[in-house]
Amino acid sequence: MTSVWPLLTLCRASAQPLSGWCVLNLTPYIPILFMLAIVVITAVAMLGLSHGLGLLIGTRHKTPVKQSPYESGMPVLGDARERFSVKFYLVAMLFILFDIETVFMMPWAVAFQQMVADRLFLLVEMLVFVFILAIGYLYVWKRGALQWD
Amino acid sequence: MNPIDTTTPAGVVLALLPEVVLSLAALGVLVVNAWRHETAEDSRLAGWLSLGGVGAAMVALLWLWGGGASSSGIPQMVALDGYRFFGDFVFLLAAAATIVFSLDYLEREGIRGPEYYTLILLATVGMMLLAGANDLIMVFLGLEVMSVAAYVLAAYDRRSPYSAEAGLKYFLIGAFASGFLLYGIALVYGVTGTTNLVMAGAFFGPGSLPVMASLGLSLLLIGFLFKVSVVPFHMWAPDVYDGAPTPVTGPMATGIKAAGFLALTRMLIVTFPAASPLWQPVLGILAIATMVAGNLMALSQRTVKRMLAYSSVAHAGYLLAAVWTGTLIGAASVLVYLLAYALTSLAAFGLLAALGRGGERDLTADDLAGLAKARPWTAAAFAIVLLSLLGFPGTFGFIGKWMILTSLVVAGQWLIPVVLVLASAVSAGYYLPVIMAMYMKPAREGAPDAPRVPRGAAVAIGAIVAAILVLGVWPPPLLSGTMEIASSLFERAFQ
Repeated sequence: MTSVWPLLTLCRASAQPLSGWCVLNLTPYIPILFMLAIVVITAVAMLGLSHGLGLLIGTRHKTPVKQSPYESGMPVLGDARERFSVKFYLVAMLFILFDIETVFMMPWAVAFQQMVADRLFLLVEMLVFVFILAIGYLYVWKRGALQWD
Repeated sequence: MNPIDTTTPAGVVLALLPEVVLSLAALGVLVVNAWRHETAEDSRLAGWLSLGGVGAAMVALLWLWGGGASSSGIPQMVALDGYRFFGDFVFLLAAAATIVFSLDYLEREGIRGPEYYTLILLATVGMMLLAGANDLIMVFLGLEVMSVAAYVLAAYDRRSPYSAEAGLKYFLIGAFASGFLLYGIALVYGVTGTTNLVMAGAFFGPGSLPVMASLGLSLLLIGFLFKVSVVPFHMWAPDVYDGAPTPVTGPMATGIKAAGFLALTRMLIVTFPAASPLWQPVLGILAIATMVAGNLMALSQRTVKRMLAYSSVAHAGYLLAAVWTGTLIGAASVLVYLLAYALTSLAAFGLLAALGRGGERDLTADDLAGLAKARPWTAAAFAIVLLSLLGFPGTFGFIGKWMILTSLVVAGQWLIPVVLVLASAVSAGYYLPVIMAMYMKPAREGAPDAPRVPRGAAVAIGAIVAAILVLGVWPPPLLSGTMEIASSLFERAFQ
């Protein structure tokens, strides 16, 4: 079989999994490869055209407004690199923790639908997880991490 | 006790009883902390509660172990054999000693936050899962539970820049090493289609490894060797051990190292026994490099704490030499040496924590001058502990080194034993000056009185020193016991 991508052909030919070198069949990912190419081409075209055409046919007037980082935006007030309260970090960290832990429940729900035999066991497992989560929540609450002042 | 059916939920809970008990204790202590976290008294309460949790887990462990618990059916994610129980025993001892040493230390140094004890319990749970892991996913899970708790513990002394440095360094290097380990797990899974150690071992069989699996094995090795601080992956260890609060350095240098070595040994023997031509040369060379480099670097340290940190790297080299053999007696000597090293090192860091005042990072051998006169019992305990680290006959450390030498000679190896003996001789060059300072030098003019070791810590250190001496003189029950325990590993391995 001839193909544009020898690597992919090799993978398809050795259809047997677990045989050493090539166990990945990359064929389903070809659309993604196309998408990658289109994204790269679009990005290069947009930047290149705007820069190249600007150089060719654009006019150049250097005014203070044109030199500012955001020509049509808000006037810049001070430095962006200033100190801000450590409480933001705490809130962000707690959000990530609890957010990721709730995301964990989604695959569980899918599995729960498909598993018919061991539903009680699955439910208890999730309750254990929620119990541990609740203790963490209780701790965070009582230590005052949810209070701003 | 009947074999535990680990295919049922109740069987799983029963098989993991010590871990479950300890996790519940950690959660309980956390809830208590939520209400009581203000005063030193609250911190003490958390410490005693945690000690109770460790005791309960120990009872559960001894019940399982004494009942000769075994599993029926297919290999599960966590092994149910003496090898795991032995590891759990060492970790629980280490946790108990750490908590006892910390009680007075935290108060003296003014370190706030009773969550410290919860973290110690959780780190211990992680160690237990790692050493008992029969599955690569469980290896990773245990490693992360253990490491994340240890990162926070290393940085627990918030006001000390050294402690912050230790935490950050440990975190960055640890995350880096975890990446290697994960990639190795992915490759092994890609080849075998299973993450179970026993089943992967059965898949590989007696033949040579596929290329991708040997790549996975080397990445796994890198991940493990980072964690147990083997040269050339040791760069983080001295700074982290030095900067962390001293009672934390004890379990970091013993428990975490022990968990890493136990999991590494189990993986090599159960999954990759046929690939020994591949990993033996690597481990042999690294063991020699670690023994030589660790001891030479320890020789040039000024402070006692940093000297002990480098000596911990050297001890990783001795252990790696035992892992190198891949034989039954080699695995048994890993167990013996781990117990010897854990006991001795815990006592050493506990004594160091007690002897300092307002920070013990800067304590040099000269600061200990005249300790034998002022505090004869403390000096004697420290001397015995250092002699055991050195491997002096009559101490437990000697038995450990002797076991490793035996396993190496039985394996027909001569270079590694010679290096081991020479490296141990070099280590006398930094252990003995501390003893000399304590016994032969007069106390300096105007030096403050040596602090008294707090009562709880004194009891723990006394018990450890007694164990070092007893096991150093009368080791036969332990040696035959560890041989039997190690053989449980080989029964499961693919022959």
